[in-house]
Amino acid sequence: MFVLTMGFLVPAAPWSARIAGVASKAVILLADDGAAISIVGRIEDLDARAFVIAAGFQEFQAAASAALAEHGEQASVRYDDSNLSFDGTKKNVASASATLVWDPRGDLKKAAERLDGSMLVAVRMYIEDELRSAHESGRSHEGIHGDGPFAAAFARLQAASTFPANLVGFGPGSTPAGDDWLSGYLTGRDLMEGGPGTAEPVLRSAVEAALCRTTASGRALLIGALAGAPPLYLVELALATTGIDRKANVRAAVRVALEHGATSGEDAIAGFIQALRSSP
Amino acid sequence: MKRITVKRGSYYDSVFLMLATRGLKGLSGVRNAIVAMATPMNVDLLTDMGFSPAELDGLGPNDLVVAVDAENEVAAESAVKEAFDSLTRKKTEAAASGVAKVGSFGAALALVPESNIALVSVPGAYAAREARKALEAGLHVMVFSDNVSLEEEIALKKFAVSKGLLLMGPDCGTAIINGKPLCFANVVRRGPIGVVAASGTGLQETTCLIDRYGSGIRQAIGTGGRDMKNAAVGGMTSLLAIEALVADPETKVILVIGKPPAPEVAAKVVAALRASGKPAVVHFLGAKPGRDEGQLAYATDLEEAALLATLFAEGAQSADSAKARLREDSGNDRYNRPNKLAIETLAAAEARNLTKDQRFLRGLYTGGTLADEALFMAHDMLGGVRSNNQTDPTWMMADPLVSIENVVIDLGDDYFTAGKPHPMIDPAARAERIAKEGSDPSTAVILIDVVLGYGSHADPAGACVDAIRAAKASAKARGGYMPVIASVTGTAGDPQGYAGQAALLEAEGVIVMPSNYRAALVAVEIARIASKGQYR
Repeated sequence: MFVLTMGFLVPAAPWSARIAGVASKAVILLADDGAAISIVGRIEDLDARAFVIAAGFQEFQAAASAALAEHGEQASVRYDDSNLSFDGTKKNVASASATLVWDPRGDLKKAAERLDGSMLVAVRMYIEDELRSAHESGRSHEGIHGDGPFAAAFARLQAASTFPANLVGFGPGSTPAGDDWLSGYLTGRDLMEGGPGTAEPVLRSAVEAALCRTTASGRALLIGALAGAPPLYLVELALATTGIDRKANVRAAVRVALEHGATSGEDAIAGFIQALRSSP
Repeated sequence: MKRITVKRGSYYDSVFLMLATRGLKGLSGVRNAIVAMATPMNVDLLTDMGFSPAELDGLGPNDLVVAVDAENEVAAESAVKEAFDSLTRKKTEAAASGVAKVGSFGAALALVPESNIALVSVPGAYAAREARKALEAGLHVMVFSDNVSLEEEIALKKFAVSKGLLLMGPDCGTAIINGKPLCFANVVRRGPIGVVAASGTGLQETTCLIDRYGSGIRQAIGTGGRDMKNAAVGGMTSLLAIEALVADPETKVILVIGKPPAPEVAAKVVAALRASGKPAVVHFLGAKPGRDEGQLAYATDLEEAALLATLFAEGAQSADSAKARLREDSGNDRYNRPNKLAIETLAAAEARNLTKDQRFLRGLYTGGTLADEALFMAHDMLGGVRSNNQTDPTWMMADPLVSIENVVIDLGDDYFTAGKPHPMIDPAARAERIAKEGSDPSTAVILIDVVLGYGSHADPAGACVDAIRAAKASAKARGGYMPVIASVTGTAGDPQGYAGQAALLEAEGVIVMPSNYRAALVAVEIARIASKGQYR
């Protein structure tokens, strides 16, 4: 039995979306709302606007590359209930006997309820220790963490009164670093202020109004974060923050997060740390 | 000179964008470069940096911008070209790798039924199963994967031998088969020398030196690290490889390289070479060389191993006559080997401006065998050197991230590469360590390797130069000087080009020696002078 897992913010079937690109871990579709829908091969890469097709992902990725090469902007994928197929062909790339809908908000709400505020300083320390260790082991400082123009501009944006809403669409990457930062920040703030989607209403409104200022991938990420559903790796970090064996689990979650994108994981962690710092 | 180039409606993996940006920053004449999506915030940033607002007008968040600030038109043009070449290359590679992923070994074989060798590079837990499938289909197999159990390796090799097939590996990173470099290997000319090697960069270093000395490689067969070292594996692949080279009339000389083997395996290997009727050279790193006999010569280092093999290929009739030639040639220009006096002079000159606090050697290696070669030599000459590769607990680094006194570090070791690319693929970690050692007032000399060839980074020397510059600047700011000694393992035919890579290093004041052995000699001599305060 093949089970398809999909994030709860994937638009309801049926729809067609053009293939925007093929990345190492995902095939990126461009939906009608201007935000991306990702098709990934590993559960670790799941987010609220993604499908996971663990079996046959590589074949799907290869076929998507070929379709993109052959049809360019006309290459598209159709989703019809439990079937994913290439438009214009009869071939199903994933035909699931069951579909699991992933919605992390319940777990995140429970995590927020059991949050022990006195542990936040220690959690921040675990995260920062793990980051330091990664850099000492050779991880390079890139983008907003480096010493180039993006880092300098990030410092200027931090000093502005509109921070952090001014980060939408800012920075390197197909998902701009600023969007990742905001995603981490909102996840941390939600954790401390009652649960998913609740904290920082003014910031949320500003971010929502600015969604058109970012890329399709950035927009998908922020739609999830605004709804209180960040990518799975950030969910895991939030859950580790409030769960048992906190030190080991937080450090493990940071290591996993750092493997996301070029700097996405680190950018999001930076936002998460900022949220922890803002605790009373 | 500021140049904006746009590609509309493009999606690229963030990692590609980062690597493209990083690649541009290393280019000559490029002051700054950004490869990013044209979101309003990024457009604002580019405008603030002085790029023309008119050229950025009308762009949207899903458009790609390559912004280059270069010293002149030519540099800008070349940077833009490199950015798009890099992105296209990576997209093509991604697409190509996608096409190659046919889902199963059977499907791959059906696609290319004439194949006679399979390269297995899957997580270790699955590697043995895939290797067995290939052997069952009658293919030789190179297992790049590590984490294959000893029991599985033994079973696979027994099966391979029973079918007369070579099972290279597991954890075999380098081979050159019928002139084709596999995994991490260099473009060397074909010739009469067959190599059997249990070490990756050892094989690369010797095959490159042989190429530089004017001879060539018939086959270079990797065996995996345990093949000769573990008595239970018993050198099954090494012995079969030697047998194959003996049977091949075009192979005139056999060279065997590895770490010290189990005694009974060493005896079998030597017996096979002795019985081969062909001239043979043996070098076991860190082991005392055996006694030469007839056409069987023992080398003391990788450079000598390559030279002896070359001399045999040129017609030397015995180990004695080949070594006599080496003695005659030692230090002259024929093989571009500075002799002892030249090395001492060079080291003394480099040590002249050290401060009294600068006392220690810092070897920062991407190649494990090259690190070992330097380590063994430094141990002999300096009397004790710490390393993450040390087997003697006394000299094992307590923390591989912290250098204490003399160290030789293998940055390709699992400790450093867990979850990250090997430093031969992405030298950023090594570059950061160079800068870090440069900021340590006790560092007297930095010793590095630069390994070229397929599989390696596109510009490994270029990836170090900023860090070298920073290290030298740190030492200068403290009133001292930072000698940096390097060797470049590569050939003119490698994608990166030997001469260009060496020139990049030399332009930063790096002493580039013709082999890892010579580079280590110079660095160790500088450390020796520094430790005794003889420069003052």
